Amino acid sequence: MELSLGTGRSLGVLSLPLGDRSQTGWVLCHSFGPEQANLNAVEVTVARELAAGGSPVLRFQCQGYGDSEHSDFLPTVDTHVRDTVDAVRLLGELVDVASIGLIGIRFGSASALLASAEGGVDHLALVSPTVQGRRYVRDLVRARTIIELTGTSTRPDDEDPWSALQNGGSIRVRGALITPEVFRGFDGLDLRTVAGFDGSALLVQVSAGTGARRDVTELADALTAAGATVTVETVVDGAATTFGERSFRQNPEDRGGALANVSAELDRKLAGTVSSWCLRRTDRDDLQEGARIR
Amino acid sequence: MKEYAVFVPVAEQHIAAIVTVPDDDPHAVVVMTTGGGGAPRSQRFRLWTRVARELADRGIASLRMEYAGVGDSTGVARVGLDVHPVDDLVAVATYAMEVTGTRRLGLCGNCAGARTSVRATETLTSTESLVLFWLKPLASSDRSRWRLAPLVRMLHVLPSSTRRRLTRVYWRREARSGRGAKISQTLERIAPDRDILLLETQSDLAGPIPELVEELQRRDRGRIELRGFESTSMAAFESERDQDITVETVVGWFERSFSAPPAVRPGDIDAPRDSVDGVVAGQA
Repeated sequence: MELSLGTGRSLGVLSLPLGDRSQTGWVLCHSFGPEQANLNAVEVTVARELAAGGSPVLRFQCQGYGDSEHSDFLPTVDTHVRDTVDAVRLLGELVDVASIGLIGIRFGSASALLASAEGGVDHLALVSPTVQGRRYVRDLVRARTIIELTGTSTRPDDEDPWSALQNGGSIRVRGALITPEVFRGFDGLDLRTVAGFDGSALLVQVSAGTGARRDVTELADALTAAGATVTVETVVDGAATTFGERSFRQNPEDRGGALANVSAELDRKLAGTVSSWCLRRTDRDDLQEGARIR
Repeated sequence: MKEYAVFVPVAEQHIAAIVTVPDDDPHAVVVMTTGGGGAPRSQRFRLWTRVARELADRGIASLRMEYAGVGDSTGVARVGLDVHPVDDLVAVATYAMEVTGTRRLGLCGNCAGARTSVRATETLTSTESLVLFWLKPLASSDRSRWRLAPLVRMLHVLPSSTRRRLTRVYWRREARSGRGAKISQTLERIAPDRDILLLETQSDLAGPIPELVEELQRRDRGRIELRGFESTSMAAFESERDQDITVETVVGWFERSFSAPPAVRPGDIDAPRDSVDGVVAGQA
């Protein structure tokens, strides 16, 4: 469906349950740059599983992505957040819900938490959250460098893209342009300092091992201190090391030579973890709503 | 210009697509597909979104689609260099012609999408023009190639000039042994009276394509061109320059194709042209 987000039109997909519909709706926030397309499969899986469980889910494309209106739009942290705030408002207009939750994956988690500060958000599910913007960009640049070293990608724009960024230059990371303005938005981003959310939150660590990720633990502590009720879950999978990278690759099991989503198993695990937590929020909200009606 | 998000039923699945139509009645429609790497209907870096809107400015409608199991389409993905979802493309292209009210059809795709477009043209007889990025006939997901993987890794210790020379020798040998002939033969069959633009890297994965293009140009049937385009594989369309070239090339090719009157092919005589008149895109 067509949505009015930020400065123009964009596209959204509203997944609705075929049967009874709960009173809690969810908005799914996508990640930044190349990760927007790379993580689309897991977002679709989460949305469909939640809708099958009875919750309406709105996915949308921020300005600058996919089918959104402006072809030359350069997305920033601020525009992601602004579009997310608009999407929350639109979900409330599209379906009859008593409460709204946001689900964010990677950088989508930052959009979700920052947008929640505008109010109207009762729940947050943050998957592999981007806690520090600077570190996130650094990781994107590092991934670019590794891919270039394999000799299968384009030559670097600059000998040292990270230095170029810090010196006020622009670089491209897997096709996404990061200008000084875009970088400033990430550089100042630290979710541990974001105050104002006191609802229920799920933090999902995605990793190859079970050891706790320090930034996730610190974010959980910060949210708890701010008054939120926080649950931390860890999803362990070998594909976690490339979470956010392209996941359609040669499938050794397929004799016909079809490419396959090698993260499909991880996607299913994440969808199971996120949807079961979200649907428990839904049950609670419905009970409270029922109590209010009675 | 207007855009409509649609789900096209194909067999048991629903194919997600965006139909873009100009303000006036379109005089042609272009269907855009992607490769096997899970790229969305908008293509990496929104290339097909940009192409669709530029085509609409020139009076040409378009549809950009996701194969089953990719993006918002339902089902499980089955696409690769040797696995071509021809049925998906044929059904969606037929739908595109019906809702836009034109039978002048163009197809555009890269890698597996290019091969799928060539094969679908055998069924979609009203296809007049194709833009094919990296048909690369010699590339294959043939499992026997996997045995060479350790050897390929060892090649990386050699100087790049030696590596390139050895690689070229290998692909020449592959071409001589008949690899890649199948898709080239299909291309030769569909070529007469059609406009076909092939964009290949300078590597030798193009196999028999340069010779075939020369031969078809000599026969002087349709318009066929081969252009070099270095961006490929993991780096596909990544640089701003490649993105601009891609949009300009695709839009320019189809604009020129559809500014000429349609060629009449023997298969068109019985085509039910009138049956689609009057169907408006708004009904999508």
